[in-house]
Amino acid sequence: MPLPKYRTKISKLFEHIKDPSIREIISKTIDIEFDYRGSQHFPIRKIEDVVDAEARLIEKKRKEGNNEIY
Amino acid sequence: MKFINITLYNFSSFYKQHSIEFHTKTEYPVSIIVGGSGFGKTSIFDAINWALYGKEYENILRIQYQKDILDYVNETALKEALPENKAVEMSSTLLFEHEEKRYRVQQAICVRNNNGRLYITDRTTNLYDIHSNGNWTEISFIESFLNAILPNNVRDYFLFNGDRINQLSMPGASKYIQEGIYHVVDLEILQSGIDHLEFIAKKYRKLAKNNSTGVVADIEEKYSNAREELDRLESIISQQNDELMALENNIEIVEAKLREMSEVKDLQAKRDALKREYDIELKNINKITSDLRNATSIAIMDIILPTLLDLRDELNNKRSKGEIPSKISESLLKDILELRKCICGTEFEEGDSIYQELTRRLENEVNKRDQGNDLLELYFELNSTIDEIERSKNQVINLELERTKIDQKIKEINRELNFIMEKLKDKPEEEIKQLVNKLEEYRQSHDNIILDINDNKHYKDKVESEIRKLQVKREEQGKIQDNVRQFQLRDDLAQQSADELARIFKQFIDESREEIQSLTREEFVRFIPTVSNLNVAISPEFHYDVRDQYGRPALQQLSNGQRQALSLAYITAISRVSEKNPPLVIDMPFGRLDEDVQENIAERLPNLASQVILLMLPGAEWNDKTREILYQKTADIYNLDFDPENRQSSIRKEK
Repeated sequence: MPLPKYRTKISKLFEHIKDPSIREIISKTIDIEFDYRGSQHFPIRKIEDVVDAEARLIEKKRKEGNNEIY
Repeated sequence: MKFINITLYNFSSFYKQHSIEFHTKTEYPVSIIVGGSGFGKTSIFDAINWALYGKEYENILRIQYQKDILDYVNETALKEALPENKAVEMSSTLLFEHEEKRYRVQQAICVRNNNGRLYITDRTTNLYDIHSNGNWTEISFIESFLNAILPNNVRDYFLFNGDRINQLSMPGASKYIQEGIYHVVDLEILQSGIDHLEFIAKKYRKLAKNNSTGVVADIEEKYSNAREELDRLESIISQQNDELMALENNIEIVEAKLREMSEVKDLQAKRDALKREYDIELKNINKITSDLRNATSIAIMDIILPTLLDLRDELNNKRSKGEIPSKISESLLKDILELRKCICGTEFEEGDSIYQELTRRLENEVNKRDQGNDLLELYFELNSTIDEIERSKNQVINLELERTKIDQKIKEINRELNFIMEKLKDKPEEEIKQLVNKLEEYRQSHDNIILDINDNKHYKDKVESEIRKLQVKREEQGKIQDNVRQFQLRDDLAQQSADELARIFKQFIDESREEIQSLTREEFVRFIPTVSNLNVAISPEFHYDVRDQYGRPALQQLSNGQRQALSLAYITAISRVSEKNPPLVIDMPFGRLDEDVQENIAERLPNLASQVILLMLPGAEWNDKTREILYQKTADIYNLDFDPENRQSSIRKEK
């Protein structure tokens, strides 16, 4: 199913986010929000996991001495 | 999305099963269902909504229309089931197509009667994917599936009634306009994402604060407090913005009421002017009455005027006979005696008979002088009195004429005043005063809130600057405590994501508003070509903003019908922006529309969506004119019949 025009527009706005970690978190968060829209028990843990995964990636890079991103 | 058919079973006045097929195609996008009041039009509208939204629609029925779904169970079916206390089934089934697939959604309830009280014994909701070979697959997540196709929160923009058009054309509709834009382009998804990310950031901030010690703890404490302060300020500003919008709505409502009362204001102004005129005329008539009284007191002497005239004639007579001495005869005699010569030329000498006669006459004249003077004065007084009586008589006539005129005018003023007062009786002056005071009060509060918002925004800038400074310190000090650092990192990531999403949200809402504005403008001109010189906009505060070619506000110049056309243009714009392209189902589309826009809208309706289902009243809505306009574009026409004896509706296909 093709994405509606406004959905594509939102995705395009995400492209302007410079920080790749933030871009990734926002993009995945919105996907989760769409998947569980109107749900009475929203799985916030899933968004928390997205944030955590990005944080781990940064931490890993820091340990490796590659501290370009953060 | 396209509706194929709707099947009602024991639904409202439709006893047992009744179906309506929709054969709409690109060239015939319209289906029309015609039925009188109480014949079941709105029941069909409700059945479509219930099939799609089930319990959510039941809530809407309860809240907006104070109706319970149990009120819809067919009376005849209930009566039949009563003796054996059988359960009655009621259902609504909608077959529709979406992206080249067929689906069947059904809501059904079983109802029993317990001593006159109905209760639901069973409820089922089914959604099936109907395959082309006739097989079907049940879809489990009905709500989220249907929400993805046609979310309930935008339902109002696709399945609506004439009241909705009217509601959006009323002052104070900005809340609904904002909601429409907010829901239709899924801004709620962005908002929900912001809220969830902020929640996660807060959680990690708390963990960082609780796990830190020493200097780090101190900075965490300050940072956490600053963030809380920022949240508090944002919440206050948001509340103030809501308050501002509510005030703007109230101002719009009061201004509209006052506009409605402009007629009253005109009447009041006219009444006040008439009262002023009345006072002036009253003063005039009082003065005339006083003058008239004076003139009459003299003119009344008219009754003795003949006597006075006789007297004057008598005196005149006497004077001509010389009985009224005059100074002339006395001085003439003196001159003759001095010259010793008569007027006839006869000369005489002192002591002769002529001289003696003339001397005697002179003595007589001198003797009569005093008596003559009295008579002369009387003569003059008589003349002057006669003149004055004549003048007063004329004055009385003129004053009487004047008084009659003013009297007439006062009577006219009174008549007009009574007419105005009668009209004003229904519209109490007090109410207008109250409205004007209220308007003043709202405007004052509005200005105060703007000042408060500016103050809070200024303070917010300061707090944000403080947060930025603390973030630098936090990063430096955080390196000391590794466990705190990991919480800080997650807090920062979640918070930055939330902030970035909020920025996108703002940008997106502005872009969406502009897009809807442009489509609203386009459709409005199509509905009413004569308004092409007007510029229609949706302001950043989500008000309709209509201006004339000189940029002056012109919303107030729109007639009620034009306002309704504007709101329908907005609904259509929302529908187009949503790209959901669902059928447009309108219950009584012209029910609340002014006559001046009915034809234009009827002409545009077939182009508003790929499928348009109209439920119309015969006569007022479905008449020769609308039939002529819509018939060529109509795929189906159904007539609803109602048997008042059995209280049952039936459906008859006409086309």
